Amino acid sequence: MSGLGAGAVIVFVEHATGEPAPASLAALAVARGLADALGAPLEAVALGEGAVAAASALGAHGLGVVHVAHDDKGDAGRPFDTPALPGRLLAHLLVTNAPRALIAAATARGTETLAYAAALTNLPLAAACTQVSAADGEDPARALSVTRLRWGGSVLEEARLDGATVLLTVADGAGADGAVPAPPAGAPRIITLADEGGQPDTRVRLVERVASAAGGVSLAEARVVVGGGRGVGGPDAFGLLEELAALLGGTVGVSRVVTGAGWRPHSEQVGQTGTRISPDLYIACGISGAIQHIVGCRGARAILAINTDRDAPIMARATYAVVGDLHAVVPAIIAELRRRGATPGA
Amino acid sequence: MADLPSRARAIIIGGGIMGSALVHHLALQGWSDLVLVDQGPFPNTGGSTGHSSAMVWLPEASRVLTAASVDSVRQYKELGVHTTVGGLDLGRTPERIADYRRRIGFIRTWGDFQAALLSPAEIRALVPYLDDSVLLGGLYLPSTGVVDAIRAGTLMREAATAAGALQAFPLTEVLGIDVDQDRVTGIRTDRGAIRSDVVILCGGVWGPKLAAMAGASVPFTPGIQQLVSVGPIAAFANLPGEIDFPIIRDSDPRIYARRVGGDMEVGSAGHRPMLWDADRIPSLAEATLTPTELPFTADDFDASLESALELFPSLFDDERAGIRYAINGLSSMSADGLPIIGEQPEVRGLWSANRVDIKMAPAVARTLATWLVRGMPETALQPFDLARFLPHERETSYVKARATEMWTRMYERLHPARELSSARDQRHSPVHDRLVALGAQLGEQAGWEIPKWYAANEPLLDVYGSRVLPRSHEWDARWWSPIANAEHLALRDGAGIEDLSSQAMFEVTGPAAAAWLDGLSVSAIGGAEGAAGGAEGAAGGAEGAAGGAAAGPRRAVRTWLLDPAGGVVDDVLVVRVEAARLLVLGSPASEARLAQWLTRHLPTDGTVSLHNATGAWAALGAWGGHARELVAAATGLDVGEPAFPRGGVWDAGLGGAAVLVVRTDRLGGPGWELLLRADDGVRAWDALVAAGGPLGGVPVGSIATATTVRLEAGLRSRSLDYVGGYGLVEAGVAGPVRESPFVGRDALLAQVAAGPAALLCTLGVDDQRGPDGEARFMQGGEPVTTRDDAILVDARGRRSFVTSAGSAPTLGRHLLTAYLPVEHARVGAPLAVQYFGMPYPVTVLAVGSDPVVEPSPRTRA
Amino acid sequence: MNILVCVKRVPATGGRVTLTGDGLAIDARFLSFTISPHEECAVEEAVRLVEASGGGTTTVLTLGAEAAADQLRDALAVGMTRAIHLVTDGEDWDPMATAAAIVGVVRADAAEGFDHDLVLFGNEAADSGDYQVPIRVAAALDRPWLTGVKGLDVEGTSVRARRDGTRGQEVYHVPLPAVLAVREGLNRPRYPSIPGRLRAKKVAIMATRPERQVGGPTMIRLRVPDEEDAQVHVLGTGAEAAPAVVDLLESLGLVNP
Repeated sequence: MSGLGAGAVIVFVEHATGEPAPASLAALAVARGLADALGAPLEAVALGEGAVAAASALGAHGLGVVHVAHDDKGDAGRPFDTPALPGRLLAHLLVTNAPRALIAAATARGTETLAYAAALTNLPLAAACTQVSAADGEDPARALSVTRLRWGGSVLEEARLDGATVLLTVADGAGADGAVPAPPAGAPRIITLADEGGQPDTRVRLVERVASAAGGVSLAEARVVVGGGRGVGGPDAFGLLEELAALLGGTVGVSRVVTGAGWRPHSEQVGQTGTRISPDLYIACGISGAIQHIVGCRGARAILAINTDRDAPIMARATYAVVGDLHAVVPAIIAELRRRGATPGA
Repeated sequence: MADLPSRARAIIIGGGIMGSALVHHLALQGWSDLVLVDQGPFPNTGGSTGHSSAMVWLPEASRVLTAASVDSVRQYKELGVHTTVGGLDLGRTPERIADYRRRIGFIRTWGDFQAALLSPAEIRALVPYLDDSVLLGGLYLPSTGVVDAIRAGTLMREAATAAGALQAFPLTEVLGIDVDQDRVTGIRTDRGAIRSDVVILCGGVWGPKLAAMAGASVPFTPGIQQLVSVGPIAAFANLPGEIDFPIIRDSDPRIYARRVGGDMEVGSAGHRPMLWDADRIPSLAEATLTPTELPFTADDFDASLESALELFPSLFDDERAGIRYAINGLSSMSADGLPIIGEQPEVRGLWSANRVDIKMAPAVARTLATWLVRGMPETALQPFDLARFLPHERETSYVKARATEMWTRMYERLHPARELSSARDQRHSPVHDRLVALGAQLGEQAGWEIPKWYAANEPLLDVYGSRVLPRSHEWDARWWSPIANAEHLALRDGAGIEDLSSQAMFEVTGPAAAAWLDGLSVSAIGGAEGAAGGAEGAAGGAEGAAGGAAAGPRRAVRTWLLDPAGGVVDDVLVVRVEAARLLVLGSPASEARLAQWLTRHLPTDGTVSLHNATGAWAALGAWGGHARELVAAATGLDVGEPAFPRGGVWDAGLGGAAVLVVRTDRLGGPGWELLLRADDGVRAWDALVAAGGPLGGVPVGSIATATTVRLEAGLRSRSLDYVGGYGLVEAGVAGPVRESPFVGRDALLAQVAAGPAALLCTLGVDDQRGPDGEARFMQGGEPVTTRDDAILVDARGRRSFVTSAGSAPTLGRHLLTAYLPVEHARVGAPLAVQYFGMPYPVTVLAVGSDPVVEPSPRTRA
Repeated sequence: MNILVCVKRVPATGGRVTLTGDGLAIDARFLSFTISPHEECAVEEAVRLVEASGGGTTTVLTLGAEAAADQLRDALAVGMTRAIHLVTDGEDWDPMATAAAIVGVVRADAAEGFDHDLVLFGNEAADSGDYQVPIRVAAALDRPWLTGVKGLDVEGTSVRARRDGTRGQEVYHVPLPAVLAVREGLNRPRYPSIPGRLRAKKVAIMATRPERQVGGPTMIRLRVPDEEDAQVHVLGTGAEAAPAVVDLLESLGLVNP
């Protein structure tokens, strides 16, 4: 064991404007649970511009030690512009500190970063976990038990993670409940990651950012999504759904059948291989409810299914339903909205 | 959704095309309080109807199927769901083209259908995308079309609902069928129970599972038929509508292709047979598409893809035309490829309608509804009756074996004498080993292995030389041998010994047995007192006459069983063994029908007992020139008249076994049938053969007895001559109608009063030489025309066709029988018959049941 | 250019998933199988790139049971020209072992003169969702890599790759040879044509049985998450339900009346 953090549980924390990202805080809750179970110290690592500010904020979450790097402004403060760099930094941390576990939220960035760190150090990585604990009957210093998502969450996998140092990403939604109360706040000790030395790997680098199209609501962010599936019948009838979405201040999403048929662009696809949405209401029209689609819309607070088939799989996931043909029901809803002079809610 | 009613007039399980058409017709015929349930949603319940290509070829492959398709198409057109696009059956070989000529002949006898043989150039003009370089021609059937079956079912259900006759409940799963003392009492579903004493299973591939819920079985199996959809097809990009040019069927690789919008759908019956089990059908929730759209097994379809590419290179040799839908489609397959309809024998009130294609469903529904509402099946449904299956035909192994073979033979050029090779040797005669030792060439009827001729008789060919009328053309000679004609001649010159042990045999016993049978029979059987039949004069039919003084109540009577409409149910021999014990003998193929008919009419008061004794007896026939001497020598009976009149029944001994000797004259001249216990069969056979030796007696097969000798004698074929709604009068066998009541008497009287519009005649072919001089031999089904090729049509619109055909070695001619319009039914009338597209001159030799060859003086007893 | 695409055979799921009795796998009795969705786009992209570059080879590789040869045939049918099958007994290999076996293939191909300019993966397999095989392969080969790719253009000796970022799309420069993990949406995969399918049947698949390296994590068993038992609240049937729907929208605060 060498250096500080040996045997510790370290959380990779993403941040923006000096605040830790909510997903990382959720991962932190899971990490804390593991650290407590192992009796191990809990630490964090943050990279890039604003890392020190975020690290300080982490004190409120009970962290005593935060490793940081590249807190500079300008090019040096944007390690993610060269995707190999963050992972390399974490790999160095793994080698020098030999923590028990390195944990991150299963965001795109977190996943990629940990995967590269794991690759460089030839350590095992369990992705998209919902829980981690000591494995029954096993030495907790050498084996952990995890539950992780398969099929985007439609199936759960119980797995064992062997090794003195292991990596995990924590799935969206995990750690939300059963969070262990944080110990009293204090300013964390901030340790700058030692430089590994040598030339950083900048072979792959960001060369351009293309902002989202102005106006319009992004599917991932929309409060209301009106979804269309096979039942819509063809590209032309989507005008109905667009009209309804506009009246509700929302946007149109589609199932994989629709994009596969070329009726609508993939950017509108809701599902395991498309976009995960989390609106207040998802109105699923003519969508049967394949499990990969459910993965994409399970984040919705409520689902209203409009379908002729009362036994369609989506009905088991929907909060509300209208049994009928969308080609009759949707125009009726539009007409009723117009009749009442309804406008999108604030 | 509304609650399930607690009871219903009838419950129909299954909302595919069959169930939907059935509720429509039941409502039309006046039933209400109908309930239809289906586990799936409307309109596509997830069964075979949903993925079917819904093609309706017109005409179809047979008279019966064509009639059903005509009716169905008419109904679909009224619903506005039928599109006529035409159908093209391609021909890649000369044999296939020749077969199309043959089919065109049959089609001429079924009605005024359009059918034309096209050249490759004409095909190309009709379907520009087809590469005609692989073709020799094709059969064009312009009346063929496609149907929107889902829409049709919806409209039919809606019509019944709107009439207040039907409540339909989708998404309702049947969990059980209740039966009490062999009667159905209702069903249980996941939404409640419904009581009814009529439950009709229209559950498609779920049929066996549903029937099993009631302790019943339906003999069919689910099976796979693959299909794919390829697109977008560049050439279809700007075409309107769903389909315009004809459906294509390529019978050699066994694929079909039809346009569906921007795609080309290709289906195959050419892949390996893939039968399926009911317990491997996914539930609606488990299925990715529907339970009858199973995952595609690409390897099995590759050969079909190659054929499709070969036919449509301009459409398919395009990297952008992708296989974008592909399934192993599930549908129902029966052992004989025909629908299965009727009341389950195990459970009264439980009916099944299975293996009914989209092309048949409306017609079948109308007929089944009539059957249910009025209690009498139209004869049109008889080939589809569930009751047609014998016990061995209901075994799963049999169904699978035959369904497999039928699959591999789909679209084959169907020979009228075709024998199947799977599931053979189901039933053997007691003397089977003797027959095999004589080189019997066995054909199958009702599971029995029956000799058609005997290889051991080959030396007879030298005896008779060219009189055996050899056949040189491969098609005409299939399942035939000149030995059969040699047996025929040897029978006339000497005697013929026939094994009849496969015949259907029923024992009827009880104090009312004779009276009961008398009430079902055209000819008098005689009441309890005995010779009453004789006192009432001649029984119906020339063969039934008791002749001189009958020897008491023991008598054999040739008679017919009629249905109330006057249609012939069967042609049987009734042997009165004792006052209260009779035997009913029919052909092997009649067993199932006779069993059903007799059982159905059995009185419930226990005064009559019926026992199916088929196979429990051995039966031998002695026919021909020296039959009398043969029987006398073998049994020691005095067989001369008047001791041995026609219809007489005597006890005797044969080879040490007790035998019942019956003079039936079944083949025209004097003839005897010997009935014994099965165990004694071999002994009796040996004795008869030994006795026959010095008399020129030879074993004879069924071609000689059931075809050639019969034709020469002007006798009717039980299976071939009573079809098409022709009754006894037109068959030329109706005599004076007796006074006592019997089923069908009124109808028969009406037929007599109305007189015949056609008469069954025997015709001889004048010149058999075909286009290249080879002698051709018609097989049956061919159209009969004037010498100017005008098809003969009688006053009731029925077209003349050959009902049976065979050699007449005695005459040296080929004989045909056909119902001719009365104006042509005269001896000497010059006519023609069309065979493989060529006309052959024929002349009427006999009208009605007059023999063509008189029995020779020495054979008249 | 030469491109290697790695694909995985996965069941094509429908509306519900059931597990085998021993809980070790999805019950695939009634399911068809497919190339995992992201990878279908990788296959399509490889075919397009090599078509556009006017020459080169496309190789499809899978690690899986005998039946996975079907997926190789599917890829060949849309235009890939070479196929390698690392045959296993059907058990899922962990991502470290999988990556090691793939690295072996890339090195073996290189030794035979097949230098792959691009190695394409799907971002994650639909079933196992490990998100790490592409990066492990890249690291072992010390090649540049990028994940989540939704658009790419080859420009000589490098690639311009696009992916979704935190604030819009990001465009990266990736020098070749490289490893890319792509996502569905990159393109619309073509269906196989009939000639494509027939050509694919004739390609000889190179099959070997690789040694399985020790790695992790180790799957113990699968289970299906408990479904909430809540009954769906049916607002009505057909167009008549519209007022009830708008009432709901108002009550959820999504519209102002």
